[in-house]
Amino acid sequence: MKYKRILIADDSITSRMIIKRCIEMAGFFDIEYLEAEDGLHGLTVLDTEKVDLIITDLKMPKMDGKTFIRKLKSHNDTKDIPVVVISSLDNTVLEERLKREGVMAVIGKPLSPAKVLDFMEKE
Amino acid sequence: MIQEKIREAIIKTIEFVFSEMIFIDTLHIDEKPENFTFTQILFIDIISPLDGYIIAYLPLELRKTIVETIHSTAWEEMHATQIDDCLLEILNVIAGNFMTNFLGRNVKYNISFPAVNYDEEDIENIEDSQEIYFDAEGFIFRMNVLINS
Repeated sequence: MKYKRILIADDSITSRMIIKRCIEMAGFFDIEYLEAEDGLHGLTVLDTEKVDLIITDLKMPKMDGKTFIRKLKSHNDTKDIPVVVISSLDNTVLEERLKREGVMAVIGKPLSPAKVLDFMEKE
Repeated sequence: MIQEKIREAIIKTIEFVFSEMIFIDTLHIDEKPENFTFTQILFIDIISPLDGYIIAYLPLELRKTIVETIHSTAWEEMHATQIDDCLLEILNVIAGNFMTNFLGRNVKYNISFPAVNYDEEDIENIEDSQEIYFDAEGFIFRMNVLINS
């Protein structure tokens, strides 16, 4: 399995739980999850922790997902970590812009195990 | 025309989100049910490219079912913030899917953070909003949608 440690940044504890559950239901077990309530918290976590994948929401307090992604992509230690956006703000304009900024996949909520396969098995 | 488009978009959205997230079959009701009561309102603003709002009026028993299904935990064992977080996340997903259904996938939009209210006093132009009732396997609830054109 490609991803052993995943950081999930989402202000909703329910959303973070659904993401973890969908990943398990898609058949991916033995993953260690780190959680953050927004982009700022995510950056703090990444100061001391290494992860293989970052999953982030867009609409979050303190630091939103777009700013979080820009900061990740501008820092040598984090620029190569794959980023997946899972958000209720789902449209092609946003998706194209985020992909230009280096996001691997943009997934609309509600998340499902089938949607998880789209990014967990992506090369 | 716009009212019919709003109605179609919210019906499609509710049926999809309830089925995908809560595993409940939901159908809209054409006639206003008698004795519909609510104790809590979930509210989210539509910010751009149009302005308006979406409100969910969910009775207590349906709120319990939603939260217990999603968290696989008894209502009594959950903290109030956990319950609110769950219901607000549902409204957040409803609002996002409604905007996509209403505007299409090629239009960028913005919505606010959802919030819990306990009465309608602070909500402007509620009389202009579209009121649609739903039956979620026996639980009756209401959605109000306003889009200022």
